[in-house]
Amino acid sequence: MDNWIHPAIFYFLGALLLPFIKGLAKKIFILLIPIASIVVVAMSEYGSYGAYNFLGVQGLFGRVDKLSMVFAWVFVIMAFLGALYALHREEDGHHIAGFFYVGSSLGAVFAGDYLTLFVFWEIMAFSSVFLIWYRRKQKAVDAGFRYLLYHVFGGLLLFFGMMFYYAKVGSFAFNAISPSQAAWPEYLILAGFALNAAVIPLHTWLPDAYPEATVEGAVFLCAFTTKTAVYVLARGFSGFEILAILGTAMTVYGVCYAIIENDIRRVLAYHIISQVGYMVAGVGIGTAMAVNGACAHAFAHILYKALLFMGAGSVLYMTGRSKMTELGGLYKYMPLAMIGYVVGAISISGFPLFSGFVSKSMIVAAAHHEGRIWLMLFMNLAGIGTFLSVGLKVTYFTFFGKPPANPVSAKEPPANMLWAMGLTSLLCFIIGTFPQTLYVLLPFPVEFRPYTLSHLSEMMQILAFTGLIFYLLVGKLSPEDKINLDMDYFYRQGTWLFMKFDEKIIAPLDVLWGELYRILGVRGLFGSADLSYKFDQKAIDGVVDNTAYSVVGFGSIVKKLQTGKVQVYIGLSLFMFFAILWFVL
Amino acid sequence: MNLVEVLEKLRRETGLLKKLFYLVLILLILFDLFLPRGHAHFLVDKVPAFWTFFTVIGGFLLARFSKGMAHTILGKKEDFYG
Repeated sequence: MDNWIHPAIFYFLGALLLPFIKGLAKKIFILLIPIASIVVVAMSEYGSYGAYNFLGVQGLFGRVDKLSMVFAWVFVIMAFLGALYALHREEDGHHIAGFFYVGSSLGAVFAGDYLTLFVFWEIMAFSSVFLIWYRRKQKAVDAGFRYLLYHVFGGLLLFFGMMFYYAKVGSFAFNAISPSQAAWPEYLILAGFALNAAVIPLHTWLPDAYPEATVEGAVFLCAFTTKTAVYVLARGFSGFEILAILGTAMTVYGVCYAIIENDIRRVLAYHIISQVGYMVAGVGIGTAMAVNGACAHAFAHILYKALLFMGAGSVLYMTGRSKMTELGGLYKYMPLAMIGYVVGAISISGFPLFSGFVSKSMIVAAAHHEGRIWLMLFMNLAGIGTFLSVGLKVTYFTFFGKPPANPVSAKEPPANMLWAMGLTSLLCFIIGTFPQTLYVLLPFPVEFRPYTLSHLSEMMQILAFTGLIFYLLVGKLSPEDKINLDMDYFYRQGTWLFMKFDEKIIAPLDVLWGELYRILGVRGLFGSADLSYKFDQKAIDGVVDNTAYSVVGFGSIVKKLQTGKVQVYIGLSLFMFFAILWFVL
Repeated sequence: MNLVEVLEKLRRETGLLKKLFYLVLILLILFDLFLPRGHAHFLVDKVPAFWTFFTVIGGFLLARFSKGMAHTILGKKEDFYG
């Protein structure tokens, strides 16, 4: 294929056409857009497409290579599953926001330069926030604004970084940066990317906003923003040691919060930080195996995390509740949704035959292979926390635990949601059982074999004994109706303090200044107006009037000389001539 | 028998399930003890049943640490931010 079609085009066109289509045709249309993009991605050939020149700057819309293609593949698959899950939603705006969000993510993944990347990066932020606002609750609106402000800040970091980078190297080309060459322009770009990857301490936007999103919106949100960030980190910053360390810290940080949170979707949101931590660490370790692992894990993670959000979303959609303290015993009412959730949970926990087993282990093995034993140990510790929180705690307290005092009688979610969960579950199983289906897409040749006896033994020990720990500590791990402070405390409390400062100090000062102005300023103004009036009357008017009087007086003298007699004029002229002559000589 | 009935039946057999679970744990340790360790470079590869010890200690500390943090400085009422 000589002329490559950018898969994002379908989403942008689809978003524009959607309001004009009604009824069943609309539903079909919503599914056809991602299908068309899947076909286009399947037909894509490697190469550079859509180079352009904008004000003397070289840009590139379509860099199609192995690294961009692995993300494009999972994005279009996820777009289809997300669209199917959201099919029952009536508002066009929600679907349009989803289309713009997916389209701009694809735009960012195929961008060959920072300028193109930046434009799509910003469209992502501004379209995805609507998936939060469509929840139409005050908490969602507030969280959406915080999300947007945070991403605008991240966008500015990226913008300043790329401008200084341009000043440094004279090009916007987006390619791998060597850690030894990196100075502060590159680190500004890195910070902008890291914010979208929810790298601590720039992570708080994620667990703040995602749990407030719509049921269907959260399924989209959990897939695209952080994984686009993983892609750009893998493209530009592989081998940066700081990413290896922060990524590993993220894996543990995320699960610590996942263990203590009460809202299922907040557990899952914190757990995204943990999972993206593996990918960031893989990029930071930077070997072929580690970067492969980061890409494989991004692929697998998008699917099983979406599946978990679909399961949690089904519970919220059917019961109106998402806190574990208000749930329990749902296996009787929604067993199919429960199976979907459990497949996601065992995939994320790394059970053999499911996708996490073949993706996460590649990063852990890469750390092991490089002799980074501490990184490996912390990643496996996070693996314990994963199964403990997402796998066991949520499953037990939502679907099996004691029903709450005011129990709910839910039923299975709509068929489209169940189908989406079924298909996603199937993909998790296929990837886990036939890992080559995923490995062929990875950017580097894969030598890693997940199904070895030692790896099986390692994972089974971790999973089974985590089960034992849960069994022994189940009473201690029960959910509590509380929220937990995170680093957003500083800016949320900081804003509150600023408002107090404004109320107690700035506002009274403003009143005082107004009063002072009223007393001194207004009086002064009247005084100076009076003075200028007098000056005008006495000085200006005086000068003007006296000049006029002088002219009149002079005129009356001149008038007397104009007798009309020629001999007088000649006499006067001679007199003046001799007077001048005398004066000059 | 549908899925819900199967689950309910299993929930009534907790004693049996518990015994089976302990059996699996023992088998897993035995499996690891007899695993060939040809390429063992690091401590984590050399110590038999290392991941059992690691998980029991690590899991316990992780759960207690996280809950401890929630009970001391992190946990606040739902309306903390208003």
